[in-house]
Amino acid sequence: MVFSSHIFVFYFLPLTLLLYYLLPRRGKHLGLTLLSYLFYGWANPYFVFLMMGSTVIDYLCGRGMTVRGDSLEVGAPRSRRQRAYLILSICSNLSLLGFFKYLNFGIDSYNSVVTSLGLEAWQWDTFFRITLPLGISFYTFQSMSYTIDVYRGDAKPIRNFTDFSCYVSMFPQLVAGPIIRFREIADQLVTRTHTVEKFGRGIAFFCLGMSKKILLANPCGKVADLCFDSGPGAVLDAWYGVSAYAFQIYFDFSGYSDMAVGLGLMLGFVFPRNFDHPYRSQSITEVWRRWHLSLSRWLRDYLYFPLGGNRKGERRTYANLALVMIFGGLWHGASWNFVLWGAFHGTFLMLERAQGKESFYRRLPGRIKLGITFVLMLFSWVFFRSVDLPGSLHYFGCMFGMTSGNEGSDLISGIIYQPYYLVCFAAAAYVVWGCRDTWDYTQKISVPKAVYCMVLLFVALIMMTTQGFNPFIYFIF
Amino acid sequence: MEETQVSRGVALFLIVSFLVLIAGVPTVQAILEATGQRGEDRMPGIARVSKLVKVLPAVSEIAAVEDEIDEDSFLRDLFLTRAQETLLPLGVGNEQVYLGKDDWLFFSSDVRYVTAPGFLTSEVLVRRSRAGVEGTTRKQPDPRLAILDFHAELFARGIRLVVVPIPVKPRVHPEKLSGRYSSGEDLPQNPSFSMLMVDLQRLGVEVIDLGKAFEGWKRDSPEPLYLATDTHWLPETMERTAALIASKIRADLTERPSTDGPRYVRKESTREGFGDIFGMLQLPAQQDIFLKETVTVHRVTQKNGTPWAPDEESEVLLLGDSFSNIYSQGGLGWGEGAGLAEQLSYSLDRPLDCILRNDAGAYATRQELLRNQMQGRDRLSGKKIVVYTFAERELAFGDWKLFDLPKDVKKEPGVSGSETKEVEIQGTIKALATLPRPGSVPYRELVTSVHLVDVVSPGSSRIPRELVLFVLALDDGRPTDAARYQKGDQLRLPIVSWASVEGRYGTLNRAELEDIQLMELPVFWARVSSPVTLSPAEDLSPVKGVDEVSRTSPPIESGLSRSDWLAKTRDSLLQDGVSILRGKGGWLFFRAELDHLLAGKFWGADAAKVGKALKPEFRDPLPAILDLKSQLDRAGIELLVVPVPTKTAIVSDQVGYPVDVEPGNPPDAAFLEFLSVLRGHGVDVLDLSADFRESGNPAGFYCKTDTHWSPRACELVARKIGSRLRKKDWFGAVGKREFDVSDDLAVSVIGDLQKQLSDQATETKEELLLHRVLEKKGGAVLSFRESPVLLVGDSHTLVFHAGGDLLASGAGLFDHLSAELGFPPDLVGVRGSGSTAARLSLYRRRDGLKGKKVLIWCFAAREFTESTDGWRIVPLIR
Repeated sequence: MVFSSHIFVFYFLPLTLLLYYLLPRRGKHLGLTLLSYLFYGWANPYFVFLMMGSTVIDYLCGRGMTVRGDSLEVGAPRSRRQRAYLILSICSNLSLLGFFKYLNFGIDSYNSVVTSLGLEAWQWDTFFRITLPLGISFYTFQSMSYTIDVYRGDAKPIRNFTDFSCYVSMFPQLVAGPIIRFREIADQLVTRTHTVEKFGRGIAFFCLGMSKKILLANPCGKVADLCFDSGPGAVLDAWYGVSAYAFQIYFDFSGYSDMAVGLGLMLGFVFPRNFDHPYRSQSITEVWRRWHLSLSRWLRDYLYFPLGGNRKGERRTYANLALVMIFGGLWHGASWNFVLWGAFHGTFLMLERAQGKESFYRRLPGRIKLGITFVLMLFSWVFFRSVDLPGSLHYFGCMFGMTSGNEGSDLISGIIYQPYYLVCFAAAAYVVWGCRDTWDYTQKISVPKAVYCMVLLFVALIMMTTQGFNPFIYFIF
Repeated sequence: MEETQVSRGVALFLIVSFLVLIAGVPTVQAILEATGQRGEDRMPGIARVSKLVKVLPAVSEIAAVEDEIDEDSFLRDLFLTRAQETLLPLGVGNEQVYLGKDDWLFFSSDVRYVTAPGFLTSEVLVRRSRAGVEGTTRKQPDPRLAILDFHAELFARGIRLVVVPIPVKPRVHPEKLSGRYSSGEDLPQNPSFSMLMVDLQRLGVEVIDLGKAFEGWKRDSPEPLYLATDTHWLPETMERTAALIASKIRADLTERPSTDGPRYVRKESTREGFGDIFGMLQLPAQQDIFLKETVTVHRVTQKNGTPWAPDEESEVLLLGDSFSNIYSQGGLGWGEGAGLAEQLSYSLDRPLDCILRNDAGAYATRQELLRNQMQGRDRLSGKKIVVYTFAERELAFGDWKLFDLPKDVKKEPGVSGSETKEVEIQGTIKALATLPRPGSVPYRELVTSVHLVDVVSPGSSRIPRELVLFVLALDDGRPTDAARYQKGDQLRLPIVSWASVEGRYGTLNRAELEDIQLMELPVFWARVSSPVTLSPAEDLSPVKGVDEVSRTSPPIESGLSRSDWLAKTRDSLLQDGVSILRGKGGWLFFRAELDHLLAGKFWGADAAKVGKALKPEFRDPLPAILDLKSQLDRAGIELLVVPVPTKTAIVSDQVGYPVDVEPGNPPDAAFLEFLSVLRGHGVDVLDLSADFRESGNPAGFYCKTDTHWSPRACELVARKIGSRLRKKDWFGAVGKREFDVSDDLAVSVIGDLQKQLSDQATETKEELLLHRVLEKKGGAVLSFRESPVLLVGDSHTLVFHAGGDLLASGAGLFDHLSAELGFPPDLVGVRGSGSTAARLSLYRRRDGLKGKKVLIWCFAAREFTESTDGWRIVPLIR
């Protein structure tokens, strides 16, 4: 189910809020879990079993670590059994992820290699293809964080299976984050407050998130789709197209995060911040302190630090950075383009680390640094958005006037430069660089702000009737 | 998270307004549905969701329910058209429509075809072969494989294949979309097209590249080649294309042109309207942004005036899509009899066979050919050339299915060819065709295919246990109940053979079942949603013997009252399962009329007992009529109800029952009493029974062998209505024009009841006198949407007007009313029930009847009891 859909806004959400607040305290988590399964199963009922399986395994692994009274205090030694449970949890989660997300990629890569070696007969073409379950990367990481946190002693194992199921399946952030580490929410699963102020701010978050998606991300996405799908006809089209994509993915993803945070607040949960003006960054290092913060923190805590972080020498630090970013790229999707996207960022992180976590253009004025960083982001988005590597290279060629689109590519200029798209593009740029983001904006809510939020929601819902099915980009990750 | 600074009042404002918004919408929707204001034919949202309450519903089922809830949302109805209208000045259409210059509109898939990467690149082919919906067969993306395969199949039979991809509009008129093109340039093309040409020609397939021809034509003349608001070409472009194709294939034909001068003639007429892309914009009816387009079409007829018809004995078979149908399928809005098949036949001066299906040109026509071959109808017999046309976008997006045409075609007709009588069946859905998402396709009608098993039919032993059913899934742009069928559903509905209605529905878009083996199953046609009794007008094929479908009037037994005689006769017909009563002197009567006459009082508390509506709550006609009257009163529109008296009651001396047994108590006494009841409620009713009876020749107002009234009745009723309307205040302000009314024209017709009888019967033709009404400048009178007079009803509004199976054209009630008034009415006639279906058609226009002064509602009186749809409340004015 998509947040920006009629069925969610007008049926699922009111029903959820009604049931949640009618249910007694003890029944809230069970109700929320069942509703979350309904939400998730709406895309494909079979995927619910997958999530249930992942939930059961991690719950049992967490319980298994303490069954015989083994200590899980920080600094205390861990038994072989505890380690076995951790490995079982990690392996099962990564296996699920590997099978559902990367098997197709593996087969395709294998086929490419054997084909290039002239061994077409060895191709695996008859092998079945796997359908990617929605949001598997998000809930697998989230569920895995539980066993790791418990093993490390950062969180206590949960006794109530319903509470744990509720944590894994919680619909607001289930399919596109923010990725909530168990330790961040463990206390809230035990006790949390429901206040009018929290609920009100949640609504403001939801309204702004919805309007970001409908009013900005979708129109910018139309421009980006036309440019990337056809190959832009002119240099200007290419830059316009990739910039539109930059805005689309930011407003799409941050809009989803805003709605998730807002829904969480309506249910009494406080989720972590996921964005902090990423396009105002003046270096790539800064980008990763502002973009998809929950993923950055997850990768840092559960991958970068275990690999040794920066404690094992300079070379190892660079290698860890590169590895983490490539893994981060692959987490987004099973394709060489995402690997290159991760490698691109990893390379800049390494270069900047070598200069004291500053960019190599650090001496330039702030706005120019901001501009250069944004352009670097655009380059990375070309990898991210293109269908494949040749497509990326072709697009780069168009951006620099070295290649051109098809005979018909110029047709798109009759569409993407229509006033509506230009206005939406300009509005998106203004919000990116001229407005506070949702987190800051909703910290203090006055009457005009409240009215503004409701008006935006109303306009967004009207516009929703004119738009087709527009799922969030991060649903497929 | 830091502390939120928000006052309790502001927070409460947010909460209340948010909850009112998100809970208010479904609440209002539920109220509207519960009170029938969303249309009685719609299933409430909650009932739709309840269909998913089962173990693991399929993804497609969930998606369908969500689509339906989206589609039926009052919020969407309330805002979509307004939002669309607001966005237009900003240069934005919608998901399907791009706005070009000078009010030109482009279909997004057409643009995508031109701008997309080459459709033959390996990446694209692999990606497309893997795309698809769960549970459906993946697409075969490579057109070369299908075309070469087809070529080989035909070559083996000594038939030449000529492939004609028809350029899409953005290719032909790129200058209307982007300022980077000028009209004199070469036309842009998908990068893979040249590779396709090379690959096909290298292997001996002949391809006509219309793009090259169009480039030349564009250079020769600044006139456009395509319609501005439609996906298709202009008639002139199509005619020139037909001439071009003819010039390429003529030499191969052995059949000589007629030596007696040209075989066909063309008659010019103009048509105006909005195109299919304009329809996709879903603008309000009163929009003034786009203007109607006018085209000049050339209708092709035989020299003797007989309409052009395909000839299966011809040497040429044309396979085509909506580019072929645009000027031949009336439902597309641009005229009839002037399509590509007709023009090609005209250019060749030879007959032509054709298989035409809107959309899905990549496979639909080849699949239909396959179905014909598998069912023993050899469409390739005697053929020299197959001309295969399709829209170019199919190359990039079509499903190029591979079919093996059967080597030997069994000559005996399948079961589907023989069962033409309407039969009630019951069966279980085993498989369904995959339907497109609502709003994602340009067409407004779509037929879907249903694989039905465990079929039982109490009325016929000839119905097979397993069959394929075609039903309308999209009607006037809206999904019907058939779009919501699911596997495992039980259906109980009346069906007729596909062959009997193929002429009318065969060219519509059709979603096919994926299993090719099912092609061998016999095919039937059924009406959508609530099963309705097809009138004989829709059951055309004369196959069964006379005694299998009719009975002669029994003799009058002494002492038997009229009602007893009627009841006894009706029971006898029912017992034998026949629907026609043969009266005196060749007069034929429809059994349902006897049912109606025997029903007695049919309104109020009695309605539930005697009505045939499937839902008892819809059996009483009075509330529906009064509700319509009330709606119209609010809008200042007058209502005139014109029930057509029952033929069996009026032409009593030909039926055979004792006429004078009960003087002063006519057989339709209940009907006459009901008219008084209506008048008592202030409803203006035109009682025709008195006029007919007192005329001295009541039989002259009905067709002898047809269920409908005669041309004479149409003229009389038009006069009576005309004299009433001319007295109205508003009448003088309406612009008038004169029409030509012909002298007496004698026509021979075969009525719908006669068609049900065997063709062995003698005296099958009936002579009628009629007067044809034409525009002064020539051409038929067309319905006038902006007319203040709205004529709504069943096939009585269409007979002698619509031509084809409706007996004649230009001489029906509509035509004569136009002549009486001096302007044409706005006609909304349906072939089904005039009780509810006609009003539903009106409802779908969603224009609130703006600009109307009077609504004339004309339908058969028997509908008061015999309509299985019933008398539902339909909100025409909100």
